[in-house]
Amino acid sequence: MRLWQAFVVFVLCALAQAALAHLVPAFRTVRVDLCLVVLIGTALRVNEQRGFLLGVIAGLATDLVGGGPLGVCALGYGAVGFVVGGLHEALFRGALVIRVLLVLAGTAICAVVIYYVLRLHGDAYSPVVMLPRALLPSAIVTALVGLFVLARMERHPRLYSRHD
Amino acid sequence: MPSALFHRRRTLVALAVLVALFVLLSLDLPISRRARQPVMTVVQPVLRGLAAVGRWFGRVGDAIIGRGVVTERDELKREVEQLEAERAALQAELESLRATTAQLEALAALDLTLLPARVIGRDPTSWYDTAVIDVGTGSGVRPGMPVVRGRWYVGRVEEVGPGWSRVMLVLDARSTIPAAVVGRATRGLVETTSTRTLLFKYLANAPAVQVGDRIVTWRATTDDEVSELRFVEGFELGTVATMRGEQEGWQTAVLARPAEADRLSEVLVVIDQ
Repeated sequence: MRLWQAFVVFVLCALAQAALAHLVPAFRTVRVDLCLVVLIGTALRVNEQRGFLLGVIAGLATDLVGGGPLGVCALGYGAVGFVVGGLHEALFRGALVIRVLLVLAGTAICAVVIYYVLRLHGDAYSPVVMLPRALLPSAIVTALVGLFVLARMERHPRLYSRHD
Repeated sequence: MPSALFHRRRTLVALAVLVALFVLLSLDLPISRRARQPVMTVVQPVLRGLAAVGRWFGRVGDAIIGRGVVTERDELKREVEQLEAERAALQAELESLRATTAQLEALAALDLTLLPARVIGRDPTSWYDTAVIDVGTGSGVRPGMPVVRGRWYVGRVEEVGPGWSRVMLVLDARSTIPAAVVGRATRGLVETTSTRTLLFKYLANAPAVQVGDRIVTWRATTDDEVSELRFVEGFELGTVATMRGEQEGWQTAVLARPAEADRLSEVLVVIDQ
Protein backbone atom coordinates (compact mmCIF):
# COMPACT_ATOMS: atom_id res chain seq x y z
CA MET A 1 0.00 0.00 0.00
CA ARG A 2 1.37 3.42 -0.93
CA LEU A 3 1.52 6.09 1.76
CA TRP A 4 -1.23 8.28 0.26
CA GLN A 5 -3.44 5.23 -0.09
CA ALA A 6 -2.71 4.39 3.53
CA PHE A 7 -3.70 7.95 4.51
CA VAL A 8 -7.08 7.63 2.74
CA VAL A 9 -7.72 4.23 4.37
CA PHE A 10 -6.80 5.55 7.83
CA VAL A 11 -8.96 8.68 7.43
CA LEU A 12 -11.91 6.43 6.52
CA CYS A 13 -11.16 4.24 9.54
CA ALA A 14 -11.05 7.32 11.80
CA LEU A 15 -14.37 8.55 10.35
CA ALA A 16 -15.93 5.12 10.95
CA GLN A 17 -14.63 5.28 14.55
CA ALA A 18 -16.17 8.75 15.00
CA ALA A 19 -19.54 7.66 13.56
CA LEU A 20 -19.53 4.41 15.58
CA ALA A 21 -18.73 6.26 18.83
CA HIS A 22 -21.74 8.49 18.20
CA LEU A 23 -24.09 5.67 17.21
CA VAL A 24 -23.30 3.51 20.25
CA PRO A 25 -23.62 6.06 23.07
CA ALA A 26 -23.78 3.29 25.69
CA PHE A 27 -20.03 2.83 25.10
CA ARG A 28 -19.31 6.45 26.15
CA THR A 29 -15.54 6.33 26.72
CA VAL A 30 -14.99 3.01 24.95
CA ARG A 31 -13.73 3.31 21.37
CA VAL A 32 -13.16 0.65 18.71
CA ASP A 33 -9.71 1.53 17.37
CA LEU A 34 -10.06 0.51 13.72
CA CYS A 35 -6.98 2.56 12.76
CA LEU A 36 -4.83 0.54 15.15
CA VAL A 37 -6.15 -2.78 13.84
CA VAL A 38 -5.53 -1.83 10.20
CA LEU A 39 -2.12 -0.41 11.16
CA ILE A 40 -1.14 -3.72 12.79
CA GLY A 41 -2.39 -5.64 9.75
CA THR A 42 -0.30 -3.52 7.37
CA ALA A 43 2.79 -2.99 9.57
CA LEU A 44 3.22 -6.77 9.95
CA ARG A 45 4.10 -6.90 6.24
CA VAL A 46 6.78 -4.20 6.27
CA ASN A 47 9.94 -3.27 8.19
CA GLU A 48 10.33 -1.04 11.26
CA GLN A 49 10.86 2.26 9.39
CA ARG A 50 7.94 1.71 7.06
CA GLY A 51 5.83 0.55 10.01
CA PHE A 52 6.70 3.78 11.85
CA LEU A 53 5.71 5.91 8.84
CA LEU A 54 2.42 4.01 8.45
CA GLY A 55 1.80 4.52 12.18
CA VAL A 56 2.46 8.26 11.92
CA ILE A 57 0.02 8.46 8.99
CA ALA A 58 -2.63 6.51 10.94
CA GLY A 59 -2.11 8.80 13.94
CA LEU A 60 -2.27 11.98 11.86
CA ALA A 61 -5.53 10.78 10.30
CA THR A 62 -6.95 10.21 13.80
CA ASP A 63 -5.62 13.59 15.00
CA LEU A 64 -7.19 15.37 12.02
CA VAL A 65 -10.61 13.76 12.51
CA GLY A 66 -10.45 14.05 16.33
CA GLY A 67 -10.33 17.06 18.62
CA GLY A 68 -6.92 16.74 20.29
CA PRO A 69 -3.58 18.43 19.53
CA LEU A 70 -2.10 17.47 16.17
CA GLY A 71 0.72 14.92 16.52
CA VAL A 72 -0.22 13.19 19.79
CA CYS A 73 -1.81 10.12 18.21
CA ALA A 74 0.80 10.25 15.43
CA LEU A 75 3.53 9.53 17.99
CA GLY A 76 1.48 6.82 19.72
CA TYR A 77 0.60 4.99 16.52
CA GLY A 78 4.12 5.57 15.18
CA ALA A 79 5.52 3.65 18.15
CA VAL A 80 3.06 0.80 17.50
CA GLY A 81 3.96 0.74 13.78
CA PHE A 82 7.67 0.64 14.62
CA VAL A 83 7.29 -2.28 17.06
CA VAL A 84 4.91 -4.28 14.86
CA GLY A 85 7.05 -3.59 11.77
CA GLY A 86 9.97 -5.24 13.57
CA LEU A 87 8.03 -8.48 14.07
CA HIS A 88 7.98 -11.32 11.59
CA GLU A 89 4.59 -11.72 9.96
CA ALA A 90 4.87 -15.52 9.65
CA LEU A 91 4.76 -15.82 13.45
CA PHE A 92 1.26 -14.39 13.55
CA ARG A 93 -0.32 -15.95 10.48
CA GLY A 94 -3.47 -17.89 11.36
CA ALA A 95 -2.94 -17.74 15.13
CA LEU A 96 -6.05 -16.08 16.51
CA VAL A 97 -4.96 -15.85 20.14
CA ILE A 98 -1.61 -14.33 19.22
CA ARG A 99 -3.32 -11.79 16.98
CA VAL A 100 -5.64 -10.77 19.83
CA LEU A 101 -2.63 -10.42 22.12
CA LEU A 102 -0.86 -8.34 19.47
CA VAL A 103 -3.80 -5.90 19.26
CA LEU A 104 -3.94 -5.70 23.08
CA ALA A 105 -0.18 -5.03 23.23
CA GLY A 106 -0.51 -2.44 20.45
CA THR A 107 -3.30 -0.65 22.35
CA ALA A 108 -1.15 -0.65 25.49
CA ILE A 109 1.92 0.78 23.69
CA CYS A 110 -0.23 3.45 22.03
CA ALA A 111 -1.91 4.40 25.34
CA VAL A 112 1.41 4.67 27.20
CA VAL A 113 2.97 6.90 24.53
CA ILE A 114 -0.14 9.13 24.22
CA TYR A 115 -0.37 9.42 28.02
CA TYR A 116 3.24 10.63 28.32
CA VAL A 117 2.94 12.99 25.34
CA LEU A 118 -0.23 14.51 26.84
CA ARG A 119 1.54 14.91 30.19
CA LEU A 120 4.39 16.74 28.43
CA HIS A 121 1.74 18.82 26.66
CA GLY A 122 0.29 19.86 30.03
CA ASP A 123 -2.96 17.85 30.02
CA ALA A 124 -3.53 15.96 33.29
CA TYR A 125 -4.80 12.42 32.89
CA SER A 126 -4.88 9.73 35.56
CA PRO A 127 -3.86 6.38 34.05
CA VAL A 128 -4.94 4.48 37.19
CA VAL A 129 -8.53 5.69 36.83
CA MET A 130 -8.60 5.72 33.02
CA LEU A 131 -7.33 2.14 32.71
CA PRO A 132 -10.41 0.26 33.99
CA ARG A 133 -12.96 2.77 32.69
CA ALA A 134 -11.72 3.58 29.19
CA LEU A 135 -8.44 2.01 28.12
CA LEU A 136 -8.96 -1.65 29.08
CA PRO A 137 -12.56 -1.94 27.73
CA SER A 138 -11.44 -0.16 24.52
CA ALA A 139 -8.49 -2.57 24.17
CA ILE A 140 -10.74 -5.63 24.62
CA VAL A 141 -13.39 -4.41 22.15
CA THR A 142 -10.67 -3.44 19.65
CA ALA A 143 -9.03 -6.88 20.00
CA LEU A 144 -12.36 -8.61 19.31
CA VAL A 145 -13.01 -6.43 16.26
CA GLY A 146 -9.36 -6.97 15.28
CA LEU A 147 -9.94 -10.74 15.07
CA PHE A 148 -12.33 -10.29 12.16
CA VAL A 149 -10.57 -7.39 10.45
CA LEU A 150 -7.11 -9.02 10.57
CA ALA A 151 -8.57 -12.31 9.30
CA ARG A 152 -10.11 -10.42 6.35
CA MET A 153 -6.82 -8.59 5.70
CA GLU A 154 -4.93 -11.89 5.72
CA ARG A 155 -7.10 -13.12 2.86
CA HIS A 156 -5.98 -10.18 0.67
CA PRO A 157 -2.22 -9.92 1.35
CA ARG A 158 -1.45 -8.09 -1.92
CA LEU A 159 -3.81 -5.27 -1.10
CA TYR A 160 -1.96 -4.34 2.07
CA SER A 161 1.62 -5.28 1.17
CA ARG A 162 4.32 -2.89 0.10
CA HIS A 163 4.19 -1.48 -3.45
CA ASP A 164 6.82 1.28 -3.38
CA MET B 1 29.09 9.07 2.29
CA PRO B 2 26.19 10.08 -0.01
CA SER B 3 25.58 6.41 -0.91
CA ALA B 4 25.55 5.47 2.79
CA LEU B 5 22.95 8.17 3.37
CA PHE B 6 20.97 6.95 0.35
CA HIS B 7 20.90 3.40 1.75
CA ARG B 8 19.64 4.70 5.08
CA ARG B 9 17.13 7.12 3.57
CA ARG B 10 14.09 5.40 5.11
CA THR B 11 15.62 5.57 8.58
CA LEU B 12 16.43 9.24 7.99
CA VAL B 13 12.90 9.98 6.80
CA ALA B 14 11.48 8.23 9.89
CA LEU B 15 13.81 10.22 12.15
CA ALA B 16 12.89 13.49 10.41
CA VAL B 17 9.18 12.74 10.88
CA LEU B 18 9.80 11.97 14.57
CA VAL B 19 11.71 15.23 15.11
CA ALA B 20 9.02 17.20 13.22
CA LEU B 21 6.30 15.73 15.43
CA PHE B 22 8.16 16.63 18.63
CA VAL B 23 8.79 20.18 17.36
CA LEU B 24 5.10 20.48 16.37
CA LEU B 25 3.95 19.39 19.82
CA SER B 26 6.49 21.35 21.85
CA LEU B 27 5.85 24.66 20.04
CA ASP B 28 2.08 24.29 20.58
CA LEU B 29 1.31 26.11 17.31
CA PRO B 30 -2.31 26.76 16.24
CA ILE B 31 -1.58 24.49 13.26
CA SER B 32 -4.02 21.80 14.49
CA ARG B 33 -7.02 23.99 13.74
CA ARG B 34 -5.67 25.15 10.38
CA ALA B 35 -4.74 21.63 9.28
CA ARG B 36 -8.07 20.20 10.39
CA GLN B 37 -10.25 22.77 8.59
CA PRO B 38 -9.72 21.51 5.01
CA VAL B 39 -9.64 17.84 5.95
CA MET B 40 -12.86 18.03 8.00
CA THR B 41 -14.55 20.09 5.29
CA VAL B 42 -13.71 17.44 2.69
CA VAL B 43 -14.62 14.42 4.82
CA GLN B 44 -17.69 15.77 6.67
CA PRO B 45 -20.12 14.58 3.96
CA VAL B 46 -18.72 11.06 4.50
CA LEU B 47 -19.24 11.43 8.26
CA ARG B 48 -22.75 12.78 7.64
CA GLY B 49 -23.45 9.79 5.34
CA LEU B 50 -22.09 7.29 7.88
CA ALA B 51 -24.26 8.83 10.59
CA ALA B 52 -27.35 8.68 8.33
CA VAL B 53 -26.65 5.04 7.38
CA GLY B 54 -26.12 4.21 11.06
CA ARG B 55 -29.40 5.89 12.01
CA TRP B 56 -31.22 3.96 9.27
CA PHE B 57 -29.72 0.63 10.44
CA GLY B 58 -30.66 1.51 14.01
CA ARG B 59 -34.29 2.15 13.05
CA VAL B 60 -34.52 -1.01 10.94
CA GLY B 61 -32.95 -2.96 13.83
CA ASP B 62 -35.45 -1.47 16.26
CA ALA B 63 -38.32 -2.36 13.93
CA ILE B 64 -37.10 -5.97 13.50
CA ILE B 65 -36.30 -6.57 17.19
CA GLY B 66 -39.66 -5.05 18.16
CA ARG B 67 -41.61 -7.57 16.10
CA GLY B 68 -39.65 -10.76 16.78
CA VAL B 69 -38.38 -13.31 14.24
CA VAL B 70 -38.36 -12.39 10.57
CA THR B 71 -38.82 -15.12 7.99
CA GLU B 72 -37.19 -14.37 4.67
CA ARG B 73 -39.31 -16.82 2.66
CA ASP B 74 -42.44 -14.78 2.54
CA GLU B 75 -42.15 -11.99 -0.02
CA LEU B 76 -45.20 -10.21 1.31
CA LYS B 77 -43.92 -10.29 4.84
CA ARG B 78 -40.69 -8.69 3.69
CA GLU B 79 -42.63 -5.93 2.03
CA VAL B 80 -44.53 -5.31 5.25
CA GLU B 81 -41.23 -5.23 7.12
CA GLN B 82 -39.87 -2.66 4.73
CA LEU B 83 -42.95 -0.52 5.25
CA GLU B 84 -42.64 -0.97 9.00
CA ALA B 85 -39.00 0.09 8.84
CA GLU B 86 -39.94 3.15 6.82
CA ARG B 87 -42.69 3.94 9.31
CA ALA B 88 -40.17 3.52 12.18
CA ALA B 89 -37.78 5.84 10.37
CA LEU B 90 -40.49 8.46 9.91
CA GLN B 91 -41.54 7.99 13.54
CA ALA B 92 -37.93 8.56 14.66
CA GLU B 93 -37.73 11.70 12.50
CA LEU B 94 -40.98 12.92 14.07
CA GLU B 95 -39.65 12.19 17.58
CA SER B 96 -36.45 14.04 16.74
CA LEU B 97 -38.48 17.05 15.57
CA ARG B 98 -40.65 16.87 18.70
CA ALA B 99 -37.52 16.74 20.91
CA THR B 100 -36.11 19.84 19.19
CA THR B 101 -39.48 21.64 19.44
CA ALA B 102 -39.73 20.77 23.15
CA GLN B 103 -36.21 22.15 23.72
CA LEU B 104 -37.05 25.35 21.85
CA GLU B 105 -40.33 25.79 23.78
CA ALA B 106 -38.58 25.27 27.13
CA LEU B 107 -36.03 27.95 26.27
CA ALA B 108 -38.43 30.42 24.62
CA ALA B 109 -38.59 32.62 27.73
CA LEU B 110 -34.82 33.13 27.82
CA ASP B 111 -34.72 35.39 24.77
CA LEU B 112 -31.85 33.57 23.09
CA THR B 113 -31.31 32.97 19.40
CA LEU B 114 -30.95 29.21 19.09
CA LEU B 115 -29.90 27.11 16.13
CA PRO B 116 -30.93 23.41 16.07
CA ALA B 117 -28.15 21.01 15.09
CA ARG B 118 -27.69 17.29 14.74
CA VAL B 119 -24.67 15.40 16.12
CA ILE B 120 -23.01 13.42 13.30
CA GLY B 121 -19.87 12.14 15.02
CA ARG B 122 -17.93 11.85 18.28
CA ASP B 123 -14.20 11.91 18.96
CA PRO B 124 -12.50 8.80 17.54
CA THR B 125 -10.24 8.41 20.62
CA SER B 126 -11.02 7.78 24.30
CA TRP B 127 -8.80 10.68 25.37
CA TYR B 128 -11.10 13.54 24.36
CA ASP B 129 -14.85 14.13 24.42
CA THR B 130 -15.79 16.18 21.39
CA ALA B 131 -18.73 15.99 18.99
CA VAL B 132 -19.16 17.05 15.36
CA ILE B 133 -22.46 18.81 14.54
CA ASP B 134 -23.99 19.45 11.11
CA VAL B 135 -24.09 23.29 11.19
CA GLY B 136 -21.17 25.59 10.49
CA THR B 137 -20.04 28.98 9.24
CA GLY B 138 -22.92 29.24 6.75
CA SER B 139 -25.45 29.10 9.61
CA GLY B 140 -23.64 31.78 11.61
CA VAL B 141 -21.84 29.48 14.04
CA ARG B 142 -18.62 30.91 15.49
CA PRO B 143 -15.96 29.46 17.83
CA GLY B 144 -16.79 29.89 21.50
CA MET B 145 -20.59 29.70 21.12
CA PRO B 146 -22.33 27.65 23.83
CA VAL B 147 -24.19 24.46 22.91
CA VAL B 148 -27.14 23.30 25.03
CA ARG B 149 -29.69 20.50 25.18
CA GLY B 150 -32.90 21.72 26.76
CA ARG B 151 -31.90 23.25 30.11
CA TRP B 152 -28.55 21.39 30.12
CA TYR B 153 -25.25 22.94 29.10
CA VAL B 154 -23.55 20.54 26.69
CA GLY B 155 -20.33 22.31 25.64
CA ARG B 156 -18.96 25.04 23.42
CA VAL B 157 -18.01 25.32 19.76
CA GLU B 158 -14.27 24.84 19.31
CA GLU B 159 -13.77 24.78 15.53
CA VAL B 160 -16.08 25.74 12.68
CA GLY B 161 -16.04 24.93 8.98
CA PRO B 162 -18.57 25.03 6.14
CA GLY B 163 -21.38 22.69 7.19
CA TRP B 164 -19.71 21.36 10.33
CA SER B 165 -18.56 22.45 13.77
CA ARG B 166 -16.64 20.67 16.51
CA VAL B 167 -18.01 21.01 20.03
CA MET B 168 -15.81 20.48 23.09
CA LEU B 169 -18.26 18.73 25.40
CA VAL B 170 -18.56 19.50 29.10
CA LEU B 171 -17.19 16.00 29.84
CA ASP B 172 -13.89 16.68 28.03
CA ALA B 173 -10.98 16.78 30.49
CA ARG B 174 -9.86 20.17 29.05
CA SER B 175 -13.21 21.85 29.76
CA THR B 176 -13.48 24.69 32.32
CA ILE B 177 -16.77 26.59 32.77
CA PRO B 178 -17.65 29.57 35.00
CA ALA B 179 -20.44 28.39 37.31
CA ALA B 180 -22.68 29.52 40.16
CA VAL B 181 -24.83 27.88 42.82
CA VAL B 182 -28.58 28.42 42.47
CA GLY B 183 -29.88 30.48 45.43
CA ARG B 184 -26.42 31.29 46.85
CA ALA B 185 -23.84 33.94 46.11
CA THR B 186 -21.13 31.37 45.48
CA ARG B 187 -19.28 31.55 42.17
CA GLY B 188 -16.61 29.17 40.93
CA LEU B 189 -15.42 26.96 38.10
CA VAL B 190 -16.60 23.57 36.91
CA GLU B 191 -13.69 21.42 35.73
CA THR B 192 -13.73 17.89 34.34
CA THR B 193 -11.38 15.08 35.35
CA SER B 194 -10.01 12.47 32.94
CA THR B 195 -12.74 10.09 34.17
CA ARG B 196 -15.51 12.49 33.07
CA THR B 197 -16.29 13.57 36.64
CA LEU B 198 -17.41 17.20 37.05
CA LEU B 199 -15.83 19.13 39.94
CA PHE B 200 -17.14 22.49 41.19
CA LYS B 201 -14.24 24.52 42.65
CA TYR B 202 -14.83 27.68 44.65
CA LEU B 203 -12.95 29.81 47.16
CA ALA B 204 -13.01 28.36 50.67
CA ASN B 205 -14.19 31.65 52.21
CA ALA B 206 -17.25 31.85 49.90
CA PRO B 207 -20.74 30.92 51.24
CA ALA B 208 -20.84 27.16 51.85
CA VAL B 209 -22.25 24.75 49.29
CA GLN B 210 -24.37 21.78 50.35
CA VAL B 211 -25.17 18.38 48.90
CA GLY B 212 -28.15 18.71 46.58
CA ASP B 213 -27.35 22.28 45.48
CA ARG B 214 -27.86 22.90 41.74
CA ILE B 215 -24.88 24.26 39.82
CA VAL B 216 -25.58 26.34 36.71
CA THR B 217 -23.46 28.18 34.15
CA TRP B 218 -22.57 31.77 34.94
CA ARG B 219 -21.79 34.52 32.46
CA ALA B 220 -18.25 35.67 33.20
CA THR B 221 -17.86 39.39 32.55
CA THR B 222 -14.16 39.62 31.75
CA ASP B 223 -11.99 38.47 28.86
CA ASP B 224 -14.96 37.34 26.75
CA GLU B 225 -13.87 39.54 23.84
CA VAL B 226 -10.28 38.45 24.11
CA SER B 227 -10.78 34.72 24.44
CA GLU B 228 -13.70 34.46 21.97
CA LEU B 229 -15.60 32.51 24.63
CA ARG B 230 -19.24 33.42 25.10
CA PHE B 231 -20.68 32.16 28.35
CA VAL B 232 -24.42 31.90 28.78
CA GLU B 233 -26.11 32.13 32.16
CA GLY B 234 -28.45 29.71 33.92
CA PHE B 235 -27.94 26.39 32.14
CA GLU B 236 -27.72 23.29 34.33
CA LEU B 237 -24.33 21.63 34.88
CA GLY B 238 -25.19 19.19 37.66
CA THR B 239 -26.16 18.72 41.30
CA VAL B 240 -23.68 18.57 44.20
CA ALA B 241 -23.32 14.88 45.10
CA THR B 242 -20.42 14.92 47.59
CA MET B 243 -18.00 17.43 49.15
CA ARG B 244 -14.26 16.77 48.90
CA GLY B 245 -13.11 19.34 51.46
CA GLU B 246 -10.66 22.23 51.39
CA GLN B 247 -7.31 22.18 49.57
CA GLU B 248 -5.00 25.18 49.11
CA GLY B 249 -7.81 27.64 49.79
CA TRP B 250 -10.25 25.96 47.39
CA GLN B 251 -13.31 23.89 48.22
CA THR B 252 -14.22 21.13 45.79
CA ALA B 253 -17.63 19.53 45.26
CA VAL B 254 -18.27 16.50 43.04
CA LEU B 255 -21.26 16.97 40.73
CA ALA B 256 -23.79 14.39 39.62
CA ARG B 257 -25.16 14.75 36.09
CA PRO B 258 -27.90 12.53 34.62
CA ALA B 259 -26.89 10.41 31.61
CA GLU B 260 -29.79 11.89 29.59
CA ALA B 261 -28.03 15.27 29.64
CA ASP B 262 -25.19 13.85 27.54
CA ARG B 263 -27.20 11.50 25.33
CA LEU B 264 -26.69 13.67 22.30
CA SER B 265 -28.54 13.48 19.01
CA GLU B 266 -30.14 16.92 18.66
CA VAL B 267 -28.62 19.99 20.31
CA LEU B 268 -29.06 23.77 20.14
CA VAL B 269 -26.29 26.29 19.44
CA VAL B 270 -26.75 29.62 21.26
CA ILE B 271 -26.11 32.02 18.39
CA ASP B 272 -26.99 35.24 20.20
CA GLN B 273 -27.65 36.19 23.82
